[in-house]
Amino acid sequence: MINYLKNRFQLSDSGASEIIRAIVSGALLAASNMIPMIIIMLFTQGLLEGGLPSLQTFIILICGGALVMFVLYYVNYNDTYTVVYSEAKTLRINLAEKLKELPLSFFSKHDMSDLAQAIMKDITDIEHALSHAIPKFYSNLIAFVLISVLLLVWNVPLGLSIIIPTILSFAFLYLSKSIQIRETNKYFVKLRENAEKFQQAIELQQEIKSYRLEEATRKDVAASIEDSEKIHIRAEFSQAVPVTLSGFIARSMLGVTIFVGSILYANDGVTLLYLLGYILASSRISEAILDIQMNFAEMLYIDSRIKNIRSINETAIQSGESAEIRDTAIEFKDVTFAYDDNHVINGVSFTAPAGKVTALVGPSGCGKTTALRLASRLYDYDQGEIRIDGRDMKNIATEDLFKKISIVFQDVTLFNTTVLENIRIGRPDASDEEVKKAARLANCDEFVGNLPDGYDTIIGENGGKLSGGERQRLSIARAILKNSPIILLDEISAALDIENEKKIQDSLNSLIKGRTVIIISHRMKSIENADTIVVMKDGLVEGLGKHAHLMKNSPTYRDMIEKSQLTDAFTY
Amino acid sequence: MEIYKKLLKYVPEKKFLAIFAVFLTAVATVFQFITFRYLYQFLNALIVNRNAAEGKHAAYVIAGLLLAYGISYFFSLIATHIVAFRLESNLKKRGLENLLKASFSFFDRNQSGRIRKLIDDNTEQTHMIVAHLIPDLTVAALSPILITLIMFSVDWRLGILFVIMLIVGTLLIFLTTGNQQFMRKYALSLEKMGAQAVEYVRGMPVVKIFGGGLESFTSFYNAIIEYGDTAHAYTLSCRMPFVLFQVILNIGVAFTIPFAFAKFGTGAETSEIIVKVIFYTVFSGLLYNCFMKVMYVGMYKLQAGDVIDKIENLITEMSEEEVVFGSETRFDHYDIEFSGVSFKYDDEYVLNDLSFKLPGKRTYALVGSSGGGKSTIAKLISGFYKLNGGEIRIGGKQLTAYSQEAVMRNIAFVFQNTKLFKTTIYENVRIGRPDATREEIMKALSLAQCDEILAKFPERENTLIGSQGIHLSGGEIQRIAIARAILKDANVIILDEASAAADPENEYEIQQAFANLMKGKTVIMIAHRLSAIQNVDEILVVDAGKIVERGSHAELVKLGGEYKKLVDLYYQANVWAVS
Repeated sequence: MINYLKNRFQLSDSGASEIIRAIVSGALLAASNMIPMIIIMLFTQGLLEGGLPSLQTFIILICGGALVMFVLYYVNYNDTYTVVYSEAKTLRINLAEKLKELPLSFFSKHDMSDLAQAIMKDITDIEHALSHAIPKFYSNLIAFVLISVLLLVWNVPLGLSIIIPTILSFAFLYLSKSIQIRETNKYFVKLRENAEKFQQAIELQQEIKSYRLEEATRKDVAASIEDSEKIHIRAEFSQAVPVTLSGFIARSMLGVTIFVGSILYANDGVTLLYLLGYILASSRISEAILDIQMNFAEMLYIDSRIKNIRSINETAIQSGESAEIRDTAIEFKDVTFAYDDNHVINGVSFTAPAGKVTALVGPSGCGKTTALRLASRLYDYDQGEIRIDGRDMKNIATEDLFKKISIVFQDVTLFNTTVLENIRIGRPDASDEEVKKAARLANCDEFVGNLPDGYDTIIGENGGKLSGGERQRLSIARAILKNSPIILLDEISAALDIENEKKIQDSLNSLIKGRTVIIISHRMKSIENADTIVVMKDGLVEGLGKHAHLMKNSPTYRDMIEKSQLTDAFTY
Repeated sequence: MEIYKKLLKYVPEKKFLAIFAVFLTAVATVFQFITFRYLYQFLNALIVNRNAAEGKHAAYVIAGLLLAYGISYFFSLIATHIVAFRLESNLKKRGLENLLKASFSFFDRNQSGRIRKLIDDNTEQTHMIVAHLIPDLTVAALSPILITLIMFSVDWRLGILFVIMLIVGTLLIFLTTGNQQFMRKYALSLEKMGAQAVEYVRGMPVVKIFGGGLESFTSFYNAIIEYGDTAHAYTLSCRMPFVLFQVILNIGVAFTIPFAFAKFGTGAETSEIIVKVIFYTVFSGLLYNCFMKVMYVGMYKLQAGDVIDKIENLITEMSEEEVVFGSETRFDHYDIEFSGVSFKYDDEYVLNDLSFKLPGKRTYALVGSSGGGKSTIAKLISGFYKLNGGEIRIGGKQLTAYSQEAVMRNIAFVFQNTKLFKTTIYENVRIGRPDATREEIMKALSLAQCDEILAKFPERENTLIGSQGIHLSGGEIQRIAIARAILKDANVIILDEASAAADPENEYEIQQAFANLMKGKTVIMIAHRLSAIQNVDEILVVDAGKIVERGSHAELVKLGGEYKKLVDLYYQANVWAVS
């Protein structure tokens, strides 16, 4: 049972056993709800058959019953509501811990903020279900089965007049769910289409306005909205009948009991006392059924949330043995990689020698950026090997690998803390002085000086207060501080202003001296002196060597150089 | 009531249906409760009068009433859903209309994903909320009254007992949900935990790459603990009233027994007493349900209010910056004049009281460091921004005096984030001038250096772009957009040259395409590659929202000021190479 719950709802050990406790106390509680009914029945029996107990007895019974119920409700409240928040705490912390173990490629494949939002929202939903639907569903179910057995034993026809509507009601609910799944699929497809249209209308608003396409766009999107309204109405109504029937049947249980009961009573098939008992029972059970159904719906709803969490929990963690890397040369051997079906790297081999600069060049879409990302393990290559220090990179523990590698890419992630702490991430045990020295070498001094609190300025969510060039320089400062022998560098695109570009170049010079460097540059000029230039085209290596050699042997390289010279010479 | 009004404002065409839905729900509720009155009748006939025929009659009426209840409930559900779906559509359309009128600065400030979520996803929630709010609110408002009335009609003592239970229940429910401060604290810690989660996940690759960096984990961890503790404290504060509420409401039916004992002396029939006690027990069970509805209604009301507020805020934000157009259709000439122009993003003025003149039919290049205001100047000339002060005149008349048609015909721009529609390349260009001939369109494509792009695809200009179609690089998209601008043949051209540099491989083609677009026009160019603008008519150096230098390349180099400094830096940066 514990294992079932654990796996079914992705709970922790303690969480699952707490839920079982909540289910048990919930079932007892559901049974205790019969106490007032029993008291009423005792009273009725006394009146009908004589021997009515005294008022004092009833007052004692009522107080005693209230006390028992109070204790059960209190215990159950603690078992569910209170326990749930500590379970949710555990779930969140476990997930956070799990994320730390996941391979980098997991994060490259998912949208970060979606991932975070999903984790938060999913757990909040599960939290709600844990405190409401899940324990209640099971405990009500248990109580319902027990009570049904009793009702059947006492009087079969009256028992059936409660049980049959219950089963019918569930059957219709189930029917409506399967209709819903089928029908709403159509609706969801339409919704996605609408979302795409909205997104396009927003993204293309410059074009729409400057070419006066407002009216056409409005008509197009509005028609799509109206269309989806119609589909939605159809989807909703096809299940409205079974849903209403289901609720109606549950509510009409009382009527059925009365009807069957009055016939039985007229034919002496049941005593008045029992008839009244069944009337009372059916009035309570019909409300309880509606409750179970609501909880059931919530459990269905959180299924997909649980699936999300499960997929994270079941993602393989990155493995690898620890190794001290001495030789920092990086060797690509017949490496292939595809995003889904899109083959980007189709067998690339080259060596980036230790202590030298290797440049990757090629037309856009040639795979150079992907190759760099493979070397940094942001993606895991499909076939072939990337070797470092004589081992396949995949077999080296990532901590050991990343001890030796610094990555400076165009997209820089910053934390909502001070400038100093953001740089210190490069080497957490660095002193303030060392951090500031790295910042100076990365040309950060000047813009940091202009911030209100200098190095102690908090830079906002993901460093929102800084410009692109400033972010880039901070990430270079991190890398300088880290002082690792391997540098993977994706030079920021030329769309920066000149002053920033010059400063970034200066800071790069102090970063790469004497290291093993793999660089992608967007200006041919800047990599002309590289020790090795790898020319890539269509996911393959077209040429390999120094500038002079490639000018003779690589048509792609020659084209790119010529183009860049033409661009430099161009005037309007 | 207020929430009804707020919602119905957006579905005037279905107002009647909404009222009808409320009415139907009320009718259904009345049927449901009258059923119980007949239950009393039935019990009475069976136990007190021992009249089987009368009992049977009551049983039939009960069956009929239940059926009537089912039918009216079903139709009220249909009616509320129709209203709710229409509300959702109308809110979306309202958002869409305002979206199409909003100024460019609205879009500069807000991410497209966020806007879409607010208009599309946010309004999607309304149908769920409204479809439940309308019936539940009616039931919640009507039930206590109806139950009380029926109870009194059976026995005034039962009526009083019921009213007492109602008051005690309401009090306890109020105590359960009443603590607003707790709610606020809870919402705050939930929000904080969400923000920390985003930062934690986003920072995860960095943390992994650099090792350690547990900082972000600690603060996320603390936020989780804080949220858990707040939520726990909140549930503790609700525990006693909620437990009492459930116990008292459940055991409450047994309180009829002391009442019954009080009646024994009065010579009432015991059978009558039994009927009343049983009736009360069955009927008061509805009270619990009714309280639950009240709680849900509170939640739905909050949610509905929240959704409407979000979309209304967005609409206000959009309409505050709606650009106004006039009726002038003719540009007499193309001289551009800024006089006292101020413009701000959020609270920060990018331009403050800026004035200058640019005679028409010449080419101007704006240079300067980023954030200095050169892009802003260029963008404002497009006519799709609302100024925060001063005026821009083109051809001697205020830009806002021209009709949108005139602005569209005479001003063209190619900015960095150009996008294409998901249709063919040909249609994407034709948008520039819908009445253009095929030859004109093909010529524009050719002038924009697109021949080489067309040659890549078997269907050439009829190739579909976008999801099902082909993928183009940034520079290729740019060239097709330039073709569109060339076809449009506007007299004032605004362009951002950095868009060329973003795709170095296409840069040369884009430069040539731009050159073709600029021929014989009044051109404002945000310059990036300083080597390329040496021959433009005039260079304007923009810094801190001011024009600090202007003149030809030769003049400014001779001046030896800011421009000279930039040019020197540019050449240094351009020869830099890794070593």
